[in-house]
This record gives sequence, structure tokens and C-alpha cells, in this order.
Amino acid sequence: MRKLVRILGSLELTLILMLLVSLWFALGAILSVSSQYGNTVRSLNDQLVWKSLFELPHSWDKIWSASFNWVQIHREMLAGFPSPDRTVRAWLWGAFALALLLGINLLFGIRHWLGDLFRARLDFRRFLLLAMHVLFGVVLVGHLVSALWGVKAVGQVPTRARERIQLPDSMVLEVEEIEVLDAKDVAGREGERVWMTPDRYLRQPVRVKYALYKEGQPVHRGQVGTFLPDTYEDLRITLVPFSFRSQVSHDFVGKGVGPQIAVTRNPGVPIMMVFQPLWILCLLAYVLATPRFRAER
Amino acid sequence: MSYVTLFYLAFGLHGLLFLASLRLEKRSRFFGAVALPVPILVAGFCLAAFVRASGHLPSHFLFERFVQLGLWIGILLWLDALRGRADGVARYILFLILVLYAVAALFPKEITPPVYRYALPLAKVFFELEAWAFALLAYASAFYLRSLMEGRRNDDEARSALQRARRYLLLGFVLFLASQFFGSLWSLQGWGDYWMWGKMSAVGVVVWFYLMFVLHARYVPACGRIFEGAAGFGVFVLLIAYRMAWQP
Repeated sequence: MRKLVRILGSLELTLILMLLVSLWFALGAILSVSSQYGNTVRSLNDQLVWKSLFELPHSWDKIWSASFNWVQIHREMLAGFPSPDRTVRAWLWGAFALALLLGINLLFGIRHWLGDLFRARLDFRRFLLLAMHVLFGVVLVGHLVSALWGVKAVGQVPTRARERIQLPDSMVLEVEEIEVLDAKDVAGREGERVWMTPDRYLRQPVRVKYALYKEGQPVHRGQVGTFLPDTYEDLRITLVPFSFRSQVSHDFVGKGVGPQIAVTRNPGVPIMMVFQPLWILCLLAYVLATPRFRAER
Repeated sequence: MSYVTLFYLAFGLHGLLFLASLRLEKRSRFFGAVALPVPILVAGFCLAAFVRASGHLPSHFLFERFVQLGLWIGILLWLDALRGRADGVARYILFLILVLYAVAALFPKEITPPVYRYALPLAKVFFELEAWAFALLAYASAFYLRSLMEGRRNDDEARSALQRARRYLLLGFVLFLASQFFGSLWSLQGWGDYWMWGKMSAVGVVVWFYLMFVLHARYVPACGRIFEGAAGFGVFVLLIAYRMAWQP
């Protein structure tokens, strides 16, 4: 048992896990830019992560695109892979397993520092080390909370007037009106200055008016635009234009990717907003204090 | 003069300086401090031409980002040279700048149009923090490279290079995390959540965990100094791959 605990908390395991996470997400990046799997990876954004572990909201067939410049590489690399749905879910399970192992490794790895903390035998250097590792753990928990709880619902493409998005607690969002704006009308307004994306895809600025219904009764009316989200209680309503979602060749425009309205409530956000800056500050304090630690030794 | 001409001029001048550094760097303490401003100035003009054309600092395209990165690294080197702390490492740093410029030369010489995304303060903070983080990380990689190349000949120099590399790497890591944090705020505003599954988030995690891997490697005796040096230099390779993934 002791040996197992030692292995689980060892720095060697930490190194292996960190390298594995890097490689695993490198594979994820390859999948998400591939014309065969990219859309399916992006569909992970349309619902809570734990649901995606079992079923994805949409699964596209493998798409072979001649105009996508990486296609030859991907064709070679991914040709033998199973369907996008199975591949992406397997990848997600792998990421989840690695995060779990990393969490266990972290817990066992810091046990001596924790013991020293309670025995008041921790110097400032080791206290900072403990704090940054604990805060990293909290950030990891924040991601877990985001994956498990909250609300994530999207109005599927293409967003149309009168389209309805079913939300939990008998709530419904209905798109009332889509107003296409002339770029000149919105010139100079922050966030809407120019209607061209970095890959030179022309974007027509739009405003979407919507209503939220609870048990059939309207409870809120609002309007969203690009980078102009709206909120109702703890729900966040965001217009996510096509070009933001695609992140790949606009070849996808005719293949089922378009703008959407996302309704989200992420209980992990407050955790991240508080603990991630704390983690960064802790690391910064360690960097600044390093010469002092060296002198002390 | 167009920004493409200025880019090639800066590239050529950095090349000449690198060649000169092979002979002169160790003979004259002031070599870096005196000779560096010329290519830095030209790279600065190139960046100014980008800003003039697009209305903002570089954001999405590899070409413009690498010119900016080369400039920031050059400035860091110059500051170190002025303090007399660049002896022996300038050639490695100039070499890495040359690699960045060579990669940039292979990509389309495009600059980001004045897009609405960049108009948001959060996006600006994200891109600028990331640029400085990458400059520090690349700077650290040069020290790792030095420890690899000179480790067998001079043990003390290799140890001191590793020590400085770790410091720059840690500082770069802090800035990188800060940029990721502002990036997640930007994502929350535009996408509705602080985390979006896609290539940007995935490559961010790759860099994040690889940096943690390198930072932890020194504490595992089995890894040794050569392993740490090689892993540290891998950060530079990863930065190039990261930017390639961002290329629209």
C-alpha cells in the first residue's frame, strides 16, 4: 500500500502525466483542425461535457475537403480512425482519465507539505510551493465543476426567427427578430467596428432580439450582438457568429456550421475568476522570491 | 518602404549580426550593446509598418507575430547586453531569432486586418501578454540550448545557463498563464464560456503542461542536465507549432 501511495505521489508520475496531457491535447488540436473530425470536436461546446462523454449532440460524417490545406496530412494520419463520434468521445474519456490521475498524483504529491503545514514546520518557500500546487488543484476542480454542472444550450444553425431553445426548469428562449445591420451604421462602436474576420471572411453584423419564457410566460426580453451578450438572472445569452465557431477553413460554411445563440450558466466561472489569478500571483511571488531562496540555501 | 522589404532587411541584418557574433561576441563585451540596435531598429520599423497598415499590434498571423516576437527577444537581449549579462549567449539568441524569421518567411506575408475582435481590451491584453510570455520563453530556450552545446566543455557555464533559463522560463510561464486567463475572459464575453473546445484551447493546454513538465524535470534526478536542456529547448519548437495552429 505504501509503495502504491509513493508511486501515485511521485514526481516521476507527475512528469509522465504532464507529457501525456501535452501529447493528448496535441492530438485534440489535430482532431479539431481536421476537416474530418473538426465539426464533431466543436460540437462538444454545445452541451455539458459529462453528457458528451456518453453522447454527442451532433456527429458529422467524415468530410473530405479538397480545399483544406492540411487535408493530405490528416487523410494519412486519421484515415484508420473510427467514426468522428467514437473518436472524439474516446479522446474526451482519455482527457478525463488523465485529469483524474493528475488530481490523484497532486493529492499524494503534496501530502508531506500538508503535514508540515499543520506541524508548523513549513518555511516560506515551501509554503509558496504548497499554495501554488493547491491552487492548481482548485483550478482543476473548477474545470470539473464546469464539466458537470450548469446550463449549456444552443440554438442550432441556422438561427432563425421563431426558433426555440429548450432550457432546464421549463424555460424556453425564443428568437423574436434577427436584424441585419449595415456596417456603416455601427462604425466606431466598440466591438463592432469592422466586419471582417482575420481570415478575411466578410461578416454581416446582426442583432438578435429574443424572449425568455418560463412555464409559458415571458419573463425577459433582450437583444444580443457580437461581443454584446445579455444576462438574465444567472443565465448568459451570447450570439456566437459562425466565424468564431469555425476556427478552420470556411469550407465548412456549406457543411453545417453556422451562427448560433448560446445560453450558458457555468458555476465554474467564479472559481476560475478567483483562483486562477491567485495561482498566477502565487507563481509570481515564487519567481520574485527565488533569489532570496537561493541565498538562504 | 513596405513592411515586407523591412522584414527581409531585418532578417538579413540579424543574419549578419549572428555571423559577426560567432567571432566577436566573446572578444568584446560591448559587441552586443553596440551592434544590436541596428537590426532591432529595422525590426521596430517593420512592426510600426504593420501597425500603420492594420491599426493595431499583430494578432493572428504567424508572419506578423514572429516579427514582433523577434523584436521583443532582441530588446531583451539588448537590455541584457547593456548590463553586461549577454556574454556567450547572444549567438544562441540571435540564432533563435533567425529561425523565427526563417519560419515567418515561409508563411504568407499577411497582417491581420483591423478586425472587431481585436478592438476589445481583453483581446489586446491577451495578445500582448502572450507576445511577452513567448519572448521570455524563447529567451529561456536560448539558455537551454547554450547549456546543451557548452555543457561538456564548461560545467560552470552550463549550470549558470540552466539557472537563468529556469528563471526566464518561470517568468514566461507566469505571463503565459496570465494571457490565458485574459483569453478566457475574452472567450466568456464572445463565446459564452471561458473554455471552448477547439484548436486554440487545445494548443494552449499543450504549451501549459509542457512548460510544467520542463519546470518539474529538474527535480527528478534521473532526468539529468542534458535531458532538461533538451526539454527546455523543446519549448521553442512548441512555440512555433503553437503559432502555426493559430494561423487562420
